[in-house]
Amino acid sequence: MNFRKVFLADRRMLARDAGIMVLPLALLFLLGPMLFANQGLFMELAIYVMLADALNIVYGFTGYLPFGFGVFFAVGAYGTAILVAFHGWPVALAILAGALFSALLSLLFTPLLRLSGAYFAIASLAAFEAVYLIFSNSSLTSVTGGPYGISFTSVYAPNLDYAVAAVLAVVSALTVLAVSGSSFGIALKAIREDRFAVELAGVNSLKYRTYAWLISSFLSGVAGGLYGWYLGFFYPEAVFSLTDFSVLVIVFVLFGGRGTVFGPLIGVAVLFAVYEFLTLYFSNLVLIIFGVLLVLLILFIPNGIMEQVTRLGRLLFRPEEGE
Amino acid sequence: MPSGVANRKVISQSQVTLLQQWGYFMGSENVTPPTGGPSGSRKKSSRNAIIAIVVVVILIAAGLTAYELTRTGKSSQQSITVGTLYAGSGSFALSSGYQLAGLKYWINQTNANGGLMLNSAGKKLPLKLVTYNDQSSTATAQTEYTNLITTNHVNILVSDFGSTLTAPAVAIAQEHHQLLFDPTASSPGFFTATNPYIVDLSILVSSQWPLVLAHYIISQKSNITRVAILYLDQAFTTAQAQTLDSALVAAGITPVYYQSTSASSAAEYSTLLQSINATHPQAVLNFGYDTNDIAFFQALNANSMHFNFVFTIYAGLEYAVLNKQTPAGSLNYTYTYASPPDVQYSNVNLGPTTSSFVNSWTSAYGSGPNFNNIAGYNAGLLIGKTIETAGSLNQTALRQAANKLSGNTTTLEGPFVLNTTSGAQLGMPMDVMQYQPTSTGLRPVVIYPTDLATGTAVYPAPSVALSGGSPAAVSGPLMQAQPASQSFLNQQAFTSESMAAPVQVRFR
Repeated sequence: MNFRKVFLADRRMLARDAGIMVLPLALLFLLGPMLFANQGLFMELAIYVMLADALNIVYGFTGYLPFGFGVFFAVGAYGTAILVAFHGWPVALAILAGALFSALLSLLFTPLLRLSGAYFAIASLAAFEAVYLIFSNSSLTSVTGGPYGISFTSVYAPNLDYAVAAVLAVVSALTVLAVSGSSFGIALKAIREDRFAVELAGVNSLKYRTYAWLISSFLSGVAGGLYGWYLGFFYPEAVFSLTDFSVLVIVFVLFGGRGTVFGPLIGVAVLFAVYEFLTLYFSNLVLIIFGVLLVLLILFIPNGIMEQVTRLGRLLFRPEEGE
Repeated sequence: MPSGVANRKVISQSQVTLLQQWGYFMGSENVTPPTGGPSGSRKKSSRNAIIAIVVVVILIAAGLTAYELTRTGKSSQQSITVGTLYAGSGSFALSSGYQLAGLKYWINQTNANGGLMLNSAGKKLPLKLVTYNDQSSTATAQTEYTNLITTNHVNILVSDFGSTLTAPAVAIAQEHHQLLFDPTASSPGFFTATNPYIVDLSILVSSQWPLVLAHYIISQKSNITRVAILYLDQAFTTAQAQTLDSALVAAGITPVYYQSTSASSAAEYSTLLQSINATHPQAVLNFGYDTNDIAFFQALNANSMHFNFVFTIYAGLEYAVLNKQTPAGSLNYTYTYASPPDVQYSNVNLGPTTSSFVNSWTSAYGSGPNFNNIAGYNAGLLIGKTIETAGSLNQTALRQAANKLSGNTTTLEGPFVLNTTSGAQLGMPMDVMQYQPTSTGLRPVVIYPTDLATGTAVYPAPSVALSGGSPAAVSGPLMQAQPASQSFLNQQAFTSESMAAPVQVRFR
């Protein structure tokens, strides 16, 4: 493989950015539970980092916003749980297979990629609901657990699960970095800016979007498998939660800055912390405060806080250009 | 931007390089590999400094949050900390709030009496309640249950209302060897011989709820052979529907309509009711939560439909809410489970009788309690007795103490009978009653089992103009219930064993 052809960015720069990315994440996941005994918070943080990275690949880089994005997460969780609980698979293999189920499902949904804008968002939402109804159907109780949920507490191991999730969260962030710095990433961004211009240039945009869709669904499936393992016992609505695993993730990515490498990570870190703090201490006001906060963010920094960081950089390094 | 182009001519090469790097950093399409340069290192350092500042700010924020959480979480050694969740919003908000209100009432009452006697402390200790709002979200609940155990170090962990919001706690509690006191989660899947860290306090296992109901319908076989069953696709309701369906089929009554749904609005229920109506049922049974029942009755009214026999769960469990939020007269002749406060237990050996509790609650709040208020309070009573029996806050000792209370304790909610291996609740039976209109309001009449009946059912239900329905108030207590109802269950053909088919659905 010709590294220079695949990765357009400078290797040293990639390595340095990888270092900048890995170090704080590693510190956070390593020291976090030591500072604060509730490891569950950091487990969720790791899951959200993976989900934000997965969404960033399809939404940030291609501009396609799948509102029902959480379906891949849920299928990953269910795939893992079913294989472990009903077929006795080892957890690691089940998580991998669960993620592959998600990727297969995304292949099934590739016709949706022929839509765009609001139509694509709504169609993905409908797909989410359809899959949810299938999994929660009582007629499929012997296959999915149906409305009774599914339990695989026999392999419950939250500490190991957390360690794996933390490592894979870092890996997912590095994946986004690699995609961003690659010719593939440049193609995706070009599609986002002007799909028709890209197609006129002879590029098969559907193929690239499908690849992004596959990578994204696979990452979501891995996150879902890890989360399911962490729950041990869950009902359909616990993993098919549109608010928790679609809307919140979209908000995190938007807040940080979609299509950027660091934006979604910062979005997750900041907003997740704010959300949890409000939930724990101002629970009756959490929806109001969070809602107002989001309105303000969208009004004043619609492109995310990474844009503000860039502006700050310009002010520092190009003061003569000013604002 | 023309001015930008002009400025670009005067900036240095190193600044151009830096901006290119920023473009790369931001994920811009205009990615040009940085070339570096002799003056680039200072700028790179500056850029890295900004990144470092951002990272440090995030870590400081996280650290402060962690400190704050930890600081407030330290529990006093001079009190017993009770931790629980409640749903301040979302689909479980109503029921969860009622359960919490009942638990708080018990805590306030206990503290007013000087606290709970704890032998290991040698004195009475006050109770301190720690709560978090899970907003009906299982993901939030997962984090908050962990927080209660690992940060707040609660002595007593009480789960939120219902199976959905209890599920996230089961594995966590077991992992941390913390006994989970479960007031209203009845999914059989929670209770296994391998998990000693859960105990069901105030509610019969859901698959057993319709046993008396099934027997009643079968006893009415001469009148009722066409049965329609509609149920919400959640564990609590599906378990009941399947138990009932199986029992009826075994008795030769195959439901003419048997459908799960995720419906929550009156419009959705309207469509379903049209389908039900087309089957010409003699009995319609809707298994849902309070919000589902409200939508169901609204749809019935909107479509001017009338059935000879209508059963819902929450007509009895949350009568006041249902009566207030459904069209006038909706509950006339409705069948439901008979449970406290409509069923009143006077022969209790722990806590107040049902009637005296109803009176004290009414004088405190101005209106009577519902079933979930009582379930929350009942959970508190049993927790208190368990602590006093154990003499310590050791979690294993607490579970053993709960087992000791099983079978010889009767509270305002009925007999407390545990499956001492799994922790599932087998007492607190659900009989059948019907709301019958009288000149003074709706009167809940227990109709089955016959030895406990306070009246007979009105069947078929008279067709009345719903908008001109009867007054809302429930008239007075109906029956003095005895634990005999449990023995009734034991004597019936419809034990859980005989209905293995519906009950054996896979919970694990």
